[in-house]
Amino acid sequence: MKGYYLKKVLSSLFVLFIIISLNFFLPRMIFSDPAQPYYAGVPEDAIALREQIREEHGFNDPLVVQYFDYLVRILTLDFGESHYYKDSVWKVMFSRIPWSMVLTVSSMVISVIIGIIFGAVAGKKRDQAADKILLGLSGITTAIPSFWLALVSVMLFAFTYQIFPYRGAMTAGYTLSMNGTLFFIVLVAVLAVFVALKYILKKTIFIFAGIPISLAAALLVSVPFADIMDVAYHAALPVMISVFSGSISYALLVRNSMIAVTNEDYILTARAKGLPPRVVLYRHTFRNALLPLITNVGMSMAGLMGGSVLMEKIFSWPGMGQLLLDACNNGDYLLSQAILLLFAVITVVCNFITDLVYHKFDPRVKEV
Amino acid sequence: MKNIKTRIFAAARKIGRFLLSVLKNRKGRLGVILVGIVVLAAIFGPMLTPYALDDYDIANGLAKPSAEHLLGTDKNGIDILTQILYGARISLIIGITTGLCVTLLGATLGIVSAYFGKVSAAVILNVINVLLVIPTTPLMMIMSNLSSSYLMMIAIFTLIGWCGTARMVRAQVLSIMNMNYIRAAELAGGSKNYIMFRHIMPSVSHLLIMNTALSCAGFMIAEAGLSFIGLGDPSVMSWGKILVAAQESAFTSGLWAWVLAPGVAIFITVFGFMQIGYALEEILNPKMRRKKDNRHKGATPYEAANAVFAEMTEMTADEAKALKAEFEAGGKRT
Amino acid sequence: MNVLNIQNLKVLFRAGEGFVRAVEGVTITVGEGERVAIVGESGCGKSVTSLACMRLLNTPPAYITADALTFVSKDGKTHDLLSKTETEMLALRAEEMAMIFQDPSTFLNPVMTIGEQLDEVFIYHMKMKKKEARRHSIEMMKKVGIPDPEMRAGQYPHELSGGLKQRILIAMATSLSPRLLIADEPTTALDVTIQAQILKLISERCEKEKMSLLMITHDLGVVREMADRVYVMYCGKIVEEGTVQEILENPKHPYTKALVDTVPGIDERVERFVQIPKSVPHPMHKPSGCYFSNRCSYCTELCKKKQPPLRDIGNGRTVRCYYDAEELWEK
Repeated sequence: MKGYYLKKVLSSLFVLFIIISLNFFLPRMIFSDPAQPYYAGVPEDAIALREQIREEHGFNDPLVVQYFDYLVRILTLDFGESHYYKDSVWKVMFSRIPWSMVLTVSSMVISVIIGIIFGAVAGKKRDQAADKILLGLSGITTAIPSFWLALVSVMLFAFTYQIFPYRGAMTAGYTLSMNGTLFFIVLVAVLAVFVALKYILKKTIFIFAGIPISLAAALLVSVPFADIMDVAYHAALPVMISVFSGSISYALLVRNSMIAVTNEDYILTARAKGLPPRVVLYRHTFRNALLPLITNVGMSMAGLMGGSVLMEKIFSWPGMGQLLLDACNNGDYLLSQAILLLFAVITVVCNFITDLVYHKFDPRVKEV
Repeated sequence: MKNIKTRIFAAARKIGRFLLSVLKNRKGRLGVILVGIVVLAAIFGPMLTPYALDDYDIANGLAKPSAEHLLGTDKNGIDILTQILYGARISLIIGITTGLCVTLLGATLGIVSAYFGKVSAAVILNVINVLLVIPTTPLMMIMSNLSSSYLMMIAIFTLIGWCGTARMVRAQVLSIMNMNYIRAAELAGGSKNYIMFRHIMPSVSHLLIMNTALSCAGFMIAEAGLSFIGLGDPSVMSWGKILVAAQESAFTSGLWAWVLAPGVAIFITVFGFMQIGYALEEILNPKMRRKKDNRHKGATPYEAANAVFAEMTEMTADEAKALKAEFEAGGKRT
Repeated sequence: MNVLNIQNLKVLFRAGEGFVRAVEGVTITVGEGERVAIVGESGCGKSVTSLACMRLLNTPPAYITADALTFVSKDGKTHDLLSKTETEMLALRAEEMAMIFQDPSTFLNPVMTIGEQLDEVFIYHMKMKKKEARRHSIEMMKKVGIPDPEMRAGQYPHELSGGLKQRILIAMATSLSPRLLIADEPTTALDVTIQAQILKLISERCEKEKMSLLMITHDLGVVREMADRVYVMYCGKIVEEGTVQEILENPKHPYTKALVDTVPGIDERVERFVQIPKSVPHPMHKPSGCYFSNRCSYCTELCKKKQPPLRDIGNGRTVRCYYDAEELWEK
């Protein structure tokens, strides 16, 4: 086990190193003058001034020196300043992450729940109505781009019938008032209760339940209820559209693995024991059928912070995807570098968590 | 000379029979018809429409669908149907080319990693590991700053998309290589190349043919998405781009056709390719072939089962005795 | 009195548009405390027969009929197994009729501990609380000879050896001392050295709990050890029936004779490996006459023409062949 995780850590570090290098070389390939962002306000013909800026920021050094400088800066977590937002890259990124998460976490949680229920109903018995509906829907949703679905529903629900708002994460002119300290205190307190429960009752489930419950509790306490409702109202349409396609793909996964598990030998043993069908289904089939879902959810968790560029663009949602898109369009490469690296780190971390959780639920250690 | 001719004929007949079996499959037929419509539209469409992509007619902008403009016009007065017909070209070109490139690259690297030594396997697997961790869409957004030509889009799609195919092919080759019949071929002295082309390629190829159709479909959706966020080639018309323009002005003016038509076009194309993919899977995967028994056609399964049960009656011991006697008498006679 | 009475059982499986005839009119009886074996090559319908008795076949794809399929429970009541609902069957399974399966490594749930899987029997049949159930489970594990049962109860199946897993399955099946134990090739997947131990354990358990045994196997060595009476099955039909002694020493059907001949050492006359030519016909393409005709060295025109019926030849024996043994062996 230890050797397995050590190997994983090493390979993740290698991957991160490759991405950092990519981050260094890509802007130097894309821009004719990588010092461009530093010229802010300096006129085109002030060649001497520009040269001075280049010299100051080390763009005239040999590439190797620049590369090492860059590595040192990344290792000290110094991402520099976004030239477009005129603010530290860290600050810009962290102002957007929560918004991305509102959209993606809520749609993923809902999709997984609906997916599991729908998948279980469809997978319980093949070729039933629920199963046929699921197969038909999945055939259609995989062929429809979800951003088009979003466009159509915006036109229908925000323009033709003005039920939902169309732009932004909050009503224009509002800002989210959040009590940061209170949020933090409540989060830690509730989490501590769950950790204590885990050690007292010796059930790991408390950790898994504790994280979302404490987050929700902290949010409810620290943010005014009206603000939460306003955000929820704005998020409703994008979340519903993501849930529509997301839940069907999760449901298909659960359904397929339910059917595969139903044919396993140990299900026959469980039935031969005279267990009621309900018990066979939930204690034996379902528990095994959810294993592939863990890997799948873990993989899509990595995309959570990244958010969905398409959804964010259509709904003018101030998320990370939109931020990266703007950064790319503005040539704000210090920002886009940092975002790419952040995404990669999140992916690596999520892979780790997925591995740990999978081992928790499947005692057979699978060392790939 | 004659030999080559007969061989070409035999190959042509084989391909013909294969295409016919696609048409005989229900899904295959549907897919071929849908894709056929789109392909015809892409080739001949621009010739049929009286408008061009630069027919500015601002006075007639944002027109509702009419006999003149079947799907209406955009704010510059350019015919939407014409835009969609031109968009079909780019969608098909990018989808099919990328699908083929990805399959080719993925298959080659997958086979190499599974079949030619540990070093190549280690290198390829590490590259795959890196590519799997790099978030695809953000990387594409950054890379597309390099050049906005649609050839660039194909290149980026291929560079990022091959690892899935490579992993699948690698797994398939490895599982085949563990089969006893490959061991037998090796023991019989078959060379590496012989085993590769004679045994491994055929079993991978059906997977690849199917995969090509499905990945074509996937890349068409990806292309539409990227053009929608403004990363497409500005010089060519694409379905994603029509939707951007529609988002800006169709909503407020209630021009439903403008929003619906590009999506329907994408759906038809992608759905068609996917149906062809599923049909190929059914045809090429021997495990999915079903033998047909038409004896009990039309009956419900239970009626059919009862009919089979009824067929299973036996004769009595006395009848058997009589039959045996009859046969023995007959046997003596002849 | 017969505990299990199967009369003319037929089972079909839906396969695409057609049907596979898995079992074609099988008649088997198991008396009280009797040990009965069904012998045959793989694919001859032995396992399907046993699963049909437990009503564990999913219908569809399976279709089952029988003239009679009855079971007499411990309280002396006769149950018509085919007309029972699934809920009614639940009470019979494990309490009255239990089953041991072939491959212990795939027949235990990989994500549940051994203890949890054993507890279920007590929890759902005896309505016990968890702790009490675990006490009984550990008691059962001791009875089937598992060392250190408390530790084993907390382990997962992949941490146990094949022999131990089979013991767990036996414990699971016999924990409520059912009236009938069906053992479906319980030793096939095990090492030869373990096989004898497991067989011994099964017969011990049967004796102690006064269970009838329906043993399904392709191994005539197992049959000699474990059975009083034998049914030989071929292609979904019974081809011969008799006591162990009679069948092994005086086979009447060419197939049984061939089977007996293949076992080195059972019959002293055989000095080298004997094999039955060709293989079992595909269930969709059985021969039109006697199913064994294409492999039988005594086959005649009559055999190819029509399926012979099962013939009573006295002494509790039946055989599915037109010819008497004496006639055949002479040829």
